[in-house]
Amino acid sequence: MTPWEIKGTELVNCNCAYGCPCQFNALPTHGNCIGLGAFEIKSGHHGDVRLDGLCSIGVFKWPGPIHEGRGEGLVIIDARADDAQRQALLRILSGEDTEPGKTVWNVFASTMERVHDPLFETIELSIDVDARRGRVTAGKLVDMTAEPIRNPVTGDEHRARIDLPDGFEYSIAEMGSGSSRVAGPISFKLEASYAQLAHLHLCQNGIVR
Amino acid sequence: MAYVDWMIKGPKLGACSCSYGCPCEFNARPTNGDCEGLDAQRIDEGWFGDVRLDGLIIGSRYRWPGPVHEGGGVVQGFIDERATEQQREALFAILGGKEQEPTTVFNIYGSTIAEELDPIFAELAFSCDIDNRTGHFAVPGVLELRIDPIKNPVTGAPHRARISLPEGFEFRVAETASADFHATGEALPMNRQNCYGVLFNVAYGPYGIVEDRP
Repeated sequence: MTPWEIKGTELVNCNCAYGCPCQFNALPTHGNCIGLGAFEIKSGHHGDVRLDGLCSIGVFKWPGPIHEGRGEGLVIIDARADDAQRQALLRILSGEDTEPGKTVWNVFASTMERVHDPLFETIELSIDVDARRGRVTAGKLVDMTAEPIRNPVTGDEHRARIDLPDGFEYSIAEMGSGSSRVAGPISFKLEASYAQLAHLHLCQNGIVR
Repeated sequence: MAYVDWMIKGPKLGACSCSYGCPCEFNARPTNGDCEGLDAQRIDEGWFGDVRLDGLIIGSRYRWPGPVHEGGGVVQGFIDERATEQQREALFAILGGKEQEPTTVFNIYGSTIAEELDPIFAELAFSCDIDNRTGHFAVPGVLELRIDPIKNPVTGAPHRARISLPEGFEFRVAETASADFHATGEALPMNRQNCYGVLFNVAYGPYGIVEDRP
């Protein structure tokens, strides 16, 4: 198992309501799960391969709750990654070189029925976790935005966090309102639904605490 | 504005008809469209002016036909029968939103209530272990709430998830859990299993949550 460690920020948008019940092991709001997650590595490596500054996006679809499987997935890798970096990222994002169940990518991989060939695309990404704002694009494939949730009465920004002390993705995530347009082998639109913004720090054994 | 000095501090349990993690905490709509539930707090330390409130238990059950902020709620309070006349008056003032800002938990929820049923004075039972996400609240013959950890649907292991609301008016950090509750009575009968449960320590005062007390 090649050791690896990455630090960075993520923006996730799925079709659940704000606060995504799946984070609490409840059933997804609409019964199924459609979503995507973008991740920028601020610093990281896989074995001897440096991964600093590289971005990736995972696009997913499950007919029911994630843990019931039958998922469909696609990984989009930063076009700037060289061959070694592409291979390294694909191994991490496919849940390889990882203790079982210890990263979100390893867990997702165990629920996949169909994985599309990876795509390589220019990824533009800006994520401000504290402000709950972000924008991610990948050519014509992905356009995802996040903004703060609003109080339905006052219109004020609503700040809410989910804190998973034993999580396999984030320890604490800021909640936002996300909208996305995704084209390609898995295509969908999301409008003002669950968005999650977090700082990630993961390695082959899961979250680095 | 100057208010009577008061505070109530202690562990609090809540449960409602939503799924685990209650979408309302995030300003999403309630899981089933409406909202039905209860809460209870043990006042470990409390006062209202010169009246001490230490050791008393309070609670309520409620129902709204839609999301809480759309109003039309029905509520009924439960007051520890050990409370003296003075303590009852003090608790009614606090729970009724008097001597406090309009932005406190009691006034925000209070502004959504259309009908308030007569309170019940009873021997209330309250216990909880916040870190282990277990709790129990009972109004004999009227209502019972049990809170247990959420279980991972695949492994069965207890699942720990907290909600953090840095500007929250009810809590700042809460443990989430699985709640079962039932209640009798013509006005607000309830019977729910495996729904949203929540546990936290909190202190409330005239200006809202008292930060350094819990």
